[in-house]
Amino acid sequence: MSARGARRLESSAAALAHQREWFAGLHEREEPIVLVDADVPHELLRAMDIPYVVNQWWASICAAKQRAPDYLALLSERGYPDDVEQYSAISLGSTFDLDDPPWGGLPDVAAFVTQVWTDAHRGIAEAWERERGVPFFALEKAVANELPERWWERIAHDWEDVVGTTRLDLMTAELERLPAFLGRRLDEARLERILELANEQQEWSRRTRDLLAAARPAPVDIVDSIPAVMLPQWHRGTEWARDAARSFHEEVEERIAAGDAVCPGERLRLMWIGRGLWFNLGFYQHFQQEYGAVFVWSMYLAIAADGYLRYGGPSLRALAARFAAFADMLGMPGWADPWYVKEAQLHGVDAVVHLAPRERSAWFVNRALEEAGIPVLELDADNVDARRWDEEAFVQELSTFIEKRVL
Amino acid sequence: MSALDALVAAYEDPRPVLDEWRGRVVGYAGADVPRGLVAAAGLLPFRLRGAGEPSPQADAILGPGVAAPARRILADLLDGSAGVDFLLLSHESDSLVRLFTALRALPGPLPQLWFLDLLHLPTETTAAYNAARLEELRDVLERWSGSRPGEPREPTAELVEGVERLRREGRLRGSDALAVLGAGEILPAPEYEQLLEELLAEQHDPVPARKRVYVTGSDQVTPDLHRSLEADGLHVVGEDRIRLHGTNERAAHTAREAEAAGADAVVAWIRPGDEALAWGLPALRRALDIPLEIL
Repeated sequence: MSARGARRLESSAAALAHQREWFAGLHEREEPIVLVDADVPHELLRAMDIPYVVNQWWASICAAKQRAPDYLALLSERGYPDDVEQYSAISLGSTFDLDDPPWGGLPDVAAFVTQVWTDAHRGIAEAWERERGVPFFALEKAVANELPERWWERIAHDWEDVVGTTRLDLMTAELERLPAFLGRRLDEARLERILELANEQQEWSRRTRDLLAAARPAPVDIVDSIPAVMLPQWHRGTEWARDAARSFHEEVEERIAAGDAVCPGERLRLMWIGRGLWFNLGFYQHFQQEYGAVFVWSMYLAIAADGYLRYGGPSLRALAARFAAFADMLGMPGWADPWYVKEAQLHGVDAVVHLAPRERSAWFVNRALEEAGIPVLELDADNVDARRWDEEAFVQELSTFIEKRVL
Repeated sequence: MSALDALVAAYEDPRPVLDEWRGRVVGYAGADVPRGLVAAAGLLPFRLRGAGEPSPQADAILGPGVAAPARRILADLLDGSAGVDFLLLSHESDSLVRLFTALRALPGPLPQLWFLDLLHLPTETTAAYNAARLEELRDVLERWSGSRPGEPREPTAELVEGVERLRREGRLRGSDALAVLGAGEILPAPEYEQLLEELLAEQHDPVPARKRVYVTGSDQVTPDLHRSLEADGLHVVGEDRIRLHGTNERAAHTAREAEAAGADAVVAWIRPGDEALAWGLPALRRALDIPLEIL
């Protein structure tokens, strides 16, 4: 018998179908795309009608199609590391696959836009230029001295203070130069409308997050909610994306009203901290069958709810405020740990699984959760590099954790 | 004691200098920290190299993805043995960013802390941002010392170049040169200049070597790598002292410096936590006219 009680979300299936159709349309458009990292302001490209693909989304497709190890090997053959920032590097590797890339492969790339939030990112951008003749535009990742308290309560309106004027001055100045780099002019009225739509979309996400936090039993798990949130997220600022977020909300609301359970006999609510395990989404559902344990939380809906909304101010500056502190919210000590605790408590989770590749320290987040009485299991693995995944060992590790520390 | 011995002694054991400056020691990490500006505020800029093993506690907090020197710095701060009154960290690498953000979130008692957010892209926007950060640093140093920094006080460039010349002429071992240059990150400029003058006046025997190499990759926080290369009959004629990770700019710099030093080969050594440097190796291969060996 399947562990799944509820049928798949229609909004999730619709988003997946739309994504395939949209990507096929990019190929038909026969215009080179701009490849953008997830944490750069896509809204600006949309306002200039420039077709773009999100680097990490494409990496997730390559991983889901089990091609990531091949693409990392293709990078290695050319002298590049295959074990540093794989999530940001796989797309470049995919361009060397001339035989059978997923979905027909990336369309021609005219430019690459990145935020240099690790030591590797500028090197990756330069590798695009060296290997593929793709020019790049890099945004700095500035770090403030100040540490804001409870940023999630203030950042939507009081972003100038939370993110900090110096960082906003820098990113705004950088964004002012991006249109010239791309050979376009910015239509500010259009950008303003895009930002309004993006806010409306995240408002729906916030309502959905609040519904799911309170719902018992969980009507959906993260395997369904992630595509329903993230595919529209990559189309942020369109009416389709806003409406997709609303459809997701309506479907969740209906399921809660009908008493649907994604896992009949739900016993445990789990939180997944870290990036999605794109090559093995079945991992999340294994534990429903075994223990009635449902992964009810991923960062994707939660950060859409708390991290994206920006009201007021000049458009470009508000847009900078969406991204200048993005990595801080999800990973920086003092920013991330209290937020994860807040979310864990809001969703009433019984335990947390923290995907933390050894390059990233999980200590502050894990300590904060444990001090709040929430047990944490840390998994040392990479979300797209299946070579570092040992299915049997990780299933065993999580099973032991559930039996010894949660049940 | 010869000047060389005195400089190596300061490099290996800075405690006498720190004792003398107690209350005014600014421990710093990051090759781009303006030592001269710190000194101009009447403070002692003391580079925290992070040599030696980290502690299990520091390892747990920062994780193995942070380079060992940053973990060692945290270990020394946590056990109170760092010997510094103020702490100044720059945005030279992810490891230092993570050291700063960890220190900021840890409960005290820790030295007063400032993050000098100097960024690295070769753009006007970054240059303007960095200039503002350096102005801000003047305010911080004034708060710490009670006096506004005047003109930056750096050791005389001719004396430092004299050390490099001695080394390139094969009359100063690379491991000794590393320590001599490292002593300049500990000693106050007047004292350092005095010792350099004496060093340059001393007699130095030729260093036997079958091949001349230039070292790139991770920062050398001890002479261990140089000594092991010397044991293989190699003379280390220079090492990178900038830390622009894995970029064309870094590759061009390395190629220029290696050529100026008359190196026969470049040796790249990358420690765990600095793996991002490897993104620059293809650029480095292209930039070099001499062999590149990756350790």
